[in-house]
Amino acid sequence: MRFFKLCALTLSLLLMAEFGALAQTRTISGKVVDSGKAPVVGAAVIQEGTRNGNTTGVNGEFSINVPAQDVILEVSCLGYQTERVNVPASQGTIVVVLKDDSFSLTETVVVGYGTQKKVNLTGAVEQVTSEVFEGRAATNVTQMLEGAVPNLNITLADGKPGRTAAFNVRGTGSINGGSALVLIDGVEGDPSMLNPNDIETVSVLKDAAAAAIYGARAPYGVVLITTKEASQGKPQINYTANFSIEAPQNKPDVVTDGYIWAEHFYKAYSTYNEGAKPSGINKTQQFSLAWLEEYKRRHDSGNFGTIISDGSMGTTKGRYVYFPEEVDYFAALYKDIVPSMNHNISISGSDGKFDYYLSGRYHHFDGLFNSDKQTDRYNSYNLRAKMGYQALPWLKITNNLDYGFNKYYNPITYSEGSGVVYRNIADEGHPSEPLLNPDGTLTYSGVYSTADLIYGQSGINTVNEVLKNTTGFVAQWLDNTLRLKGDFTYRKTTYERTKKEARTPYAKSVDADGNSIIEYIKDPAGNKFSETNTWRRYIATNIYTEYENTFGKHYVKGMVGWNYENSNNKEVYASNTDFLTPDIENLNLTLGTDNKSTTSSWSAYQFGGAFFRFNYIFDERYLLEFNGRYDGSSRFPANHRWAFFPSVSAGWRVSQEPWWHVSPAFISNLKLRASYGSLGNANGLGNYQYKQTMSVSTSGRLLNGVKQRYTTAPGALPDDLTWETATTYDVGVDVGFFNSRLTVTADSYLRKTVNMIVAGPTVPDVFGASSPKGNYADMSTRGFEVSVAWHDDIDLGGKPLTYSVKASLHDYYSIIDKYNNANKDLVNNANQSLAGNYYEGMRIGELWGFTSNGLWQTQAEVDAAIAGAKAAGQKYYNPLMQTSKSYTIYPGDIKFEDLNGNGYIDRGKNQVGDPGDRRIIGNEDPRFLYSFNLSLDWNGIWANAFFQGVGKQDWFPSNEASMFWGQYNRPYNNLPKWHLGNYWTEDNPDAYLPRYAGYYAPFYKGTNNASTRYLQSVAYCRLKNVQLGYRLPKNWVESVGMKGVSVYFSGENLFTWSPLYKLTKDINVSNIGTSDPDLTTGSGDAYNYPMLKTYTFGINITF
Amino acid sequence: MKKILTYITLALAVGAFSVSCDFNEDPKSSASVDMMFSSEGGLQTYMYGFYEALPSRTGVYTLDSTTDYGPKNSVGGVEVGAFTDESETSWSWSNLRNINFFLEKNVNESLSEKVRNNYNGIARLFRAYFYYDKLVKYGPVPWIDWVFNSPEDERLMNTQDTRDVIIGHIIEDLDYAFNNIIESKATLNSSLVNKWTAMAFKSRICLFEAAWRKYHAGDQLDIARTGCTQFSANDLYTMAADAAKKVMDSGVYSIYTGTKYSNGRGAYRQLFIADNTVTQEVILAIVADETLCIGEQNWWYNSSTYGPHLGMSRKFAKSYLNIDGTPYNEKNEDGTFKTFKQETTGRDTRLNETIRAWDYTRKNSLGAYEATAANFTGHTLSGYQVTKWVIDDILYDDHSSNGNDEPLIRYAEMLLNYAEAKAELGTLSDGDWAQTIGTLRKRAGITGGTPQTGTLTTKPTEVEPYIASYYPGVTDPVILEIRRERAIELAYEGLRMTDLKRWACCNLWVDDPWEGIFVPALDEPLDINEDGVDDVYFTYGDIPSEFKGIGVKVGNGNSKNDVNLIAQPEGGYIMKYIKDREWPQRQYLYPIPKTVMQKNPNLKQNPGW
Repeated sequence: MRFFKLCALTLSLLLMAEFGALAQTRTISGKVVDSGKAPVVGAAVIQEGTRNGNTTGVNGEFSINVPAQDVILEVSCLGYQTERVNVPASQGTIVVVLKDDSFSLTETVVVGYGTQKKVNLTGAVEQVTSEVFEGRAATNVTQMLEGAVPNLNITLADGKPGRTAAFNVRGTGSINGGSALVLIDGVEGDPSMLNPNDIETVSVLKDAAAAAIYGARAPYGVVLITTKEASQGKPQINYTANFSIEAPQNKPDVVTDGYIWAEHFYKAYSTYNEGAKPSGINKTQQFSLAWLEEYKRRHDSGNFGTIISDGSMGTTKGRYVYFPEEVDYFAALYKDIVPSMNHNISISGSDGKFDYYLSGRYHHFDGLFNSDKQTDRYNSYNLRAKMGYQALPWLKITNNLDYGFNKYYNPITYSEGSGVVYRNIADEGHPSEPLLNPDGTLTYSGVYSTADLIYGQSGINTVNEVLKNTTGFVAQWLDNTLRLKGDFTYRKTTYERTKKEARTPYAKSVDADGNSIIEYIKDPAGNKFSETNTWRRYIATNIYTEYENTFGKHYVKGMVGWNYENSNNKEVYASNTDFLTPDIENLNLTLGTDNKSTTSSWSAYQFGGAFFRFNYIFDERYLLEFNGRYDGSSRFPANHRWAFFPSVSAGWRVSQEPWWHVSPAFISNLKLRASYGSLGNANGLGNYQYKQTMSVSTSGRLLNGVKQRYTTAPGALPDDLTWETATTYDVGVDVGFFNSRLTVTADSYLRKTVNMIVAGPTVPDVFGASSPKGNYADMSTRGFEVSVAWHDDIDLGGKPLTYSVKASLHDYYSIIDKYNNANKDLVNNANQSLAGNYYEGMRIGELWGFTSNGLWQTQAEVDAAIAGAKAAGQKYYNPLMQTSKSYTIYPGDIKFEDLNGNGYIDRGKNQVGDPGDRRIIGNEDPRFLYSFNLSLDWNGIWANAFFQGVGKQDWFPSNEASMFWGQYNRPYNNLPKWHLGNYWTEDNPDAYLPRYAGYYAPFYKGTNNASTRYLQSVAYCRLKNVQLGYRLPKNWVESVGMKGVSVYFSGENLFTWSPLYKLTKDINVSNIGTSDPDLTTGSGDAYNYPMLKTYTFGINITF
Repeated sequence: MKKILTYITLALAVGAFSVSCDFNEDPKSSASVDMMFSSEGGLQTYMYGFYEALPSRTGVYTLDSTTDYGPKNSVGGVEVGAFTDESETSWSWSNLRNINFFLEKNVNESLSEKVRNNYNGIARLFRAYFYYDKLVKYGPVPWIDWVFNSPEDERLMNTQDTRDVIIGHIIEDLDYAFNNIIESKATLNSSLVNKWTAMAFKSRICLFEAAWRKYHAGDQLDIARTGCTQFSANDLYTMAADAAKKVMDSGVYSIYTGTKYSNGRGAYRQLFIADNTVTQEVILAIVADETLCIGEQNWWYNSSTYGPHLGMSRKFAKSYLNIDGTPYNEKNEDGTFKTFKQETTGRDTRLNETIRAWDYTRKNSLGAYEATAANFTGHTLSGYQVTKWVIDDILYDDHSSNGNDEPLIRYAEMLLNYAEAKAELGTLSDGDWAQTIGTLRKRAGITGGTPQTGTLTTKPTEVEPYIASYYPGVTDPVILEIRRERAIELAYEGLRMTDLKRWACCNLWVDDPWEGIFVPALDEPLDINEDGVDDVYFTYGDIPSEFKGIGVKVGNGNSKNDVNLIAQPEGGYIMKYIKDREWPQRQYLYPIPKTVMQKNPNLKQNPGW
């Protein structure tokens, strides 16, 4: 979507013609255009082997005086491949077509406090441009960046429209978390609040040498987001609109036939309970065999419906008794398609002194839940005003104002599980009970699940707002070799959340007159309303000066500066009960007097550092860079508050060596890089952890008539707390082949994180508090990144076809080198790191589990195993896992291998040295993450496809992952269709699943009893984005007064392949984390707010 | 150029100025230690935190769930075989650190010494409470009256101190508390401690330790193994008696006999179901409230799914005297068993105020009181359905909704402690008897007595055979009758297991056959409370459909974990709940958990573990 391109190189080395003795000359006039026939302004045209040259004007035209003989002209321009053109003596005019060269050696990359030519980089830096965001319909920048940069790892918890995530660079940084520092125009910011259309580049600084200038804020990488600069010349107005329809990628395909479901419920319940009969289906429905028989009769004869109990069939007189044909809780929950749209407008220009870039964006997502009032609408607005004024020849002042606002309504259910509808559908949404009674009241199952969500009044409204203003200046003297830059930023972030939990009426029975008896779910709290208001005031200032010059073959650049930040955070929470009416939207209309609550919290930190950078380049061959930063943080005690962190990196451009005689047609560039740097970590640590603080909270007891405020002793003070330090070693290579048509960049790194602040060594319990924290743990992370890009154009039908293919691959893993766990104790949870348990030598993400090669097939096999266990003094062969209430094993149960041969299944001492029958069966960390980018551009038509994926990742569905384990979890859970016919029976001995039983401990206790047989692979490959667009011919659009118009179709997340999908597509491979983090903190996985796929139509108009 | 240098210098100066900032940040929404200890409000705020160590409002009425009082459907938990040195335990010391931290920091002289000592007194009362709990559970433990700051502190590796050291410090703490706590009147709803609370605890704890030393003398838990010589059993009995007497003489508390709270449920019963604590008698209570702080008494006792269906055993029910003070006889003159109505007629009124007796009524869903029998199909395992803590209103049954306060220490216990200590010392007079046991029996409606059971004013002189069979080995008729009285008066209030431990008779829990009420017939509907409505239909076979609502399928004496009916030669059946229980001698003390021993090998494991 480039309409014309200005050559960025204004040929500062303006050449003086050397005519001297030449007697005869002639003039060649010509035009330089790009492959799209647009004029290239400012291209250098030089007679080869001389200093004779000129530059192209505004129309791309030039003229040059040359000797009256055959000459070779060299035409070059930043961003294009240099062309050599032979002009015979007879020829007076030429047209030169420059090929686009976005991978050229002159590419500039944004680095900390400045930019640098890519060829001169010594650190590991990767940059992407606005192309990543163009034509995309995703809600925010975070979502669009997923998978876009090798080793920038973004894991979205679910598919909620506003979902954002922390940025991780190069894998686990620290046990204490270790996110990358994200800077927007040089100042810390939240990318999810940013207008994606404003972004010019995203640069990821991966190694310590590249990040070192940010010191202790950036031990685990930096993401630099730079917004667009004002365009040159006349105002340019750009309007983009896109309209999308969205739909869930994955929707559980569960049994909706009520009878089939109820029959399996009974089977799962009674098999586990060894024949016992349930009296109810969890809370909401009464159960008896007579009812089930009647249901079968009605099912077979097609006589469905709801009756009122006369007291027979084990049901209570007057209760509704349901015989529905089918009930689909998910179909009722979701709309089939969700419309969404984006509008963006920008105006930009410059009169030479004053430049401006103004933009605004509106995004609307209409809500997935199938209700008008109770749907999850999302709206966001952005506004940016960026201006610069060249006040004096040497001084430019700038201002950059950014405003972002988003609003989301998240409907919830009143019931248990913090209102997560998926949990309640799993537990109470039985296909044997409809959502509504015949008279339209909600049923008991309905009020616990889908019906409460879409007809109820409970929900959470969140509003996020950020206002940020940066004022700055750039001064330059001595022919721009000496510069002084400074900026000051004020940012205010506010977060408002109102939560309403309103009880919804329902009925499970009728009175004597046959009218529904209205009831409410019993909860002493009743209706509850709360408001949370959080604000954060943040100021940051930078001032730095740099000197840059070239002396012959020596290039030097030095910078020194100072950075200071200060953040204040405050949160006020208030809640009350009893509503004036269920419609209220403000706390003031609550009427409760007894259960009010008000709390407030406050925190602040200061951070500052003095930094320097020194670059030296000799003869474009040897590159050297030093960085250093002296940092201070209020998070450390006075004696450790300041620390110095250095880094060094070097590069060798082998291809620039005089002895390098390899043709550029084969290898055009070869650079070797190495870096070392050591950075402290002040992020991810508590603000006051070295101080003894006493918080005050409200007692749950009534003392002297009220719930008193109370406090308790503070924890034991850490003895001597100092900085966690991450040291990174990086080696890299950049190679260009075939005139840079093929480029390869590869890096390999080792990051040693030492002195991580964790709990101290075990102390005797009489200590009375947790062991004081200290700098006790070390870890190392190893990894690599490789990107390969091919870029070329060919002639197709007389017009150039530009195409490129880019592939990248990265990987990392982390090992704990030191931790206070002398015995290497394990915990029952399979994933030790998730459970917060570490030991020396442990690999992050590793899964401990049992080995299972199959199912028990015969009673004789079972008997032999039990006899062996008895001989070993055990009551059961598998005392750890109940597959039936009495621990009896039956044919069809999962067979676990007795790896330690002691005759029964155990965890030994539950230590690495004696793990019993467990071993490491897999790893839940993603490995070999890759992406592919294909793009084509021909005659105004363009097409892009972006694939990303994970090469290897294991997953064991956790405890109560009910959407995966179905009725094996709890008998009354939903029944995934893939379970049908896929469980063991005598006639189906080769089934994947074991005999049909609920509360089945190997699944119900999930990650505590992980096993090889049911370990899932969640590797995947996804077509993340695909686009097809057309630029309308210029003459058409110019005739209606526009500069450019293009239309496009774009699709997001259209296709995903994973080994897991061979088993089930109910669950999205990239959505297997814990339950909705907005509502709960804890376990649960397998199904959440679905990831959405999106079909978008868009138009882009430039005036 | 000069200009430029000026700018740069200026910029660097700004930087240097910022560097000179000390970068210190103090929290604002939490207090510093100095702040907290600089005002009485701060001390009070800290003091309220001590109360977190008391049982919760959903726990008081469950404390006696593992005792000989009666059956329950699960016997797991810390008192039985499931408990090993690998299980999780209550070996937690954070509450002690919390108290010691307070005592260490409460030295700000801008507050008057009297004020500081008042709060120190409260802190030390809670320290005594902490150590009493450890003493009961683990026996001797390390004594710590300082705050550990360094994980390298050598004292972390200390072994246990002797029982003498522990009890000595407890007494010291409680005496200090008594002398320094300013409050001397009952507090609102008895929700806060006062100086008498310290004395009441002293009486309870000294009695415990005295009895432990007397009744475990010579067994493997004998204190001699730790060489205790400072306190004899008699010293401690004397202190227990003196402490109780101080409370009795204070005039602050007395036995409640009034009707102020009454709705006809009886004075004794009011103590447990009154919305507000009967502060006349209750020394310390855990307060519940229907909106602010909800209890679950009804739900726990009256739900078929929640709670373990804790009931009363026939053996214990038989220990209640007749209203005239004579021992109860379970049989009629013709040798047949008394019916349930006969059994619960003319007895110590506390029986009818503790279980659903024949005359039990409660509010139905329309708000009217109606006769209500025990619920055999879901709630009771013996037919004696405990209702001591339960509000007589069906409205409260199926969810958390109770607002009745829960006594933790009552004045009645002081009378019983005094009587027992004096009896053990052999110095109990008739006057003492009248002031203690006599007073309690009088409130219970008992009118007279026998030489075996004693009267309201005279202590017994002969052994009463039934109660003697209860406590084999005890021959003193006074001690026996005091034990009867204590068990009845304090039933289901959380003291029974401690009593059994100190009397060295935990076997009672195992030996009680868990028999229930007399059932006249099988296979026919029975009206147990004789109100004209059938209550239950027992059968060995299938329940006929017309009796589905009240039908109970029973075993004939072999079904474990089930209700059985045992045919009696005299005719009829006795209910019986069969469940395996065990009480090996070592269980009198918890084991020191294995992981604790690993961290500190200097600790000595308790005997038998």
